[in-house]
Amino acid sequence: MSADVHARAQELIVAGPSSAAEQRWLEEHLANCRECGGLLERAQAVRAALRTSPLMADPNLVDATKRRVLRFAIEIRERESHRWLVRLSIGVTAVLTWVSIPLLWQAAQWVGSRTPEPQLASLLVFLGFGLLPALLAGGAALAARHGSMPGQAPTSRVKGEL
Amino acid sequence: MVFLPARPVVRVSMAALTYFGSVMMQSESAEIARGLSRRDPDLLSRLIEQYQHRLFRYLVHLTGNRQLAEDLFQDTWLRVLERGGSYDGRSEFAPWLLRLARNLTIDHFRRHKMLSLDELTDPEREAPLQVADRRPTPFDHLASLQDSEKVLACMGGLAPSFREVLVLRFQEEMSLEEIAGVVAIPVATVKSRLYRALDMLGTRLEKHA
Repeated sequence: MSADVHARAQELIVAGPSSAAEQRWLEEHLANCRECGGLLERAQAVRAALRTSPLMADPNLVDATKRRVLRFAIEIRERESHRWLVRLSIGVTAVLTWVSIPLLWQAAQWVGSRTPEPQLASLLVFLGFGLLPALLAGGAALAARHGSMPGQAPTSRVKGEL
Repeated sequence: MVFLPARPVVRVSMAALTYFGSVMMQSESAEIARGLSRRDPDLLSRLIEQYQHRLFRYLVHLTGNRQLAEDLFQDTWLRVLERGGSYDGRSEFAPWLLRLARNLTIDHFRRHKMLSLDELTDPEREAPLQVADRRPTPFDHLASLQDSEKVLACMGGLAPSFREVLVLRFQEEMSLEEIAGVVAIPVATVKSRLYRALDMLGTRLEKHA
């Protein structure tokens, strides 16, 4: 028998025959080939052993896992909603700032025109009022980020859980 | 060996059943993908229930350690929740789940300074895998059970990379292509690993005998 024949038989043993013709061919081959018969026996022994001693997940483990997954799902949702709020507030602040800059500059010039140093006063008023919303928004964003920091999946078990 | 019916009527019926089965599988996979992208906790709960034993068995055989398998079991489901959006629903869920579990296991071993699954094996270790509590054994099955324990003991001494292909093929009944997808190796390598695993197992069983 050629090596190709054995290779084909071994492939059919591990992959399983896909047609009746293949199965017939394999049975005929196995009737005359001790080597391939041995491979089939070992494959059947493994299958039988794995099936007679089934490993089952502990129900407590499964329940604990469900609880952890549920907790983590809630945590992720909260984190995502915080993130969304922060993004929204930063966006609104940016738009409002962009719209109010020309108005603020005009107001600063008006205030500056009533002082002995119009240019310096206009600049100080403009910068003071211009940076105020950005500083407030930045502070709020930092505070919100600080409040939703747990960015990692819990990797270790909670004490008392399986 | 798989029994294949020879009669044409039966063959056509089986082909139709296979077709409808694959259509149903696709719609179920798509539903799982949609649920995972929404991070639906009810779906996760159902999936944990449905795949608990398959995942657990795979992890126990892969790691050879029940305690570690339990830790990785929980971590795998948390990872499913976190990365569920990457499952596209075009293939079956089980191979995707097992691949995720496998990657977590490899990460775990890397963190513990083991570079690959192969390095986990202690060639002297012939202890049986830690089998779950078993129901009372009828006397007439005792002999076959002892044989099974012997086979499992010998399997426990194989490298994890060999154990896992044996479990995926002969317990989970996955096709060679599906195994290749889980283990991330070519189909030809899956075949050669299976041959080698069975060959080594035969040698070990002879030594035991």
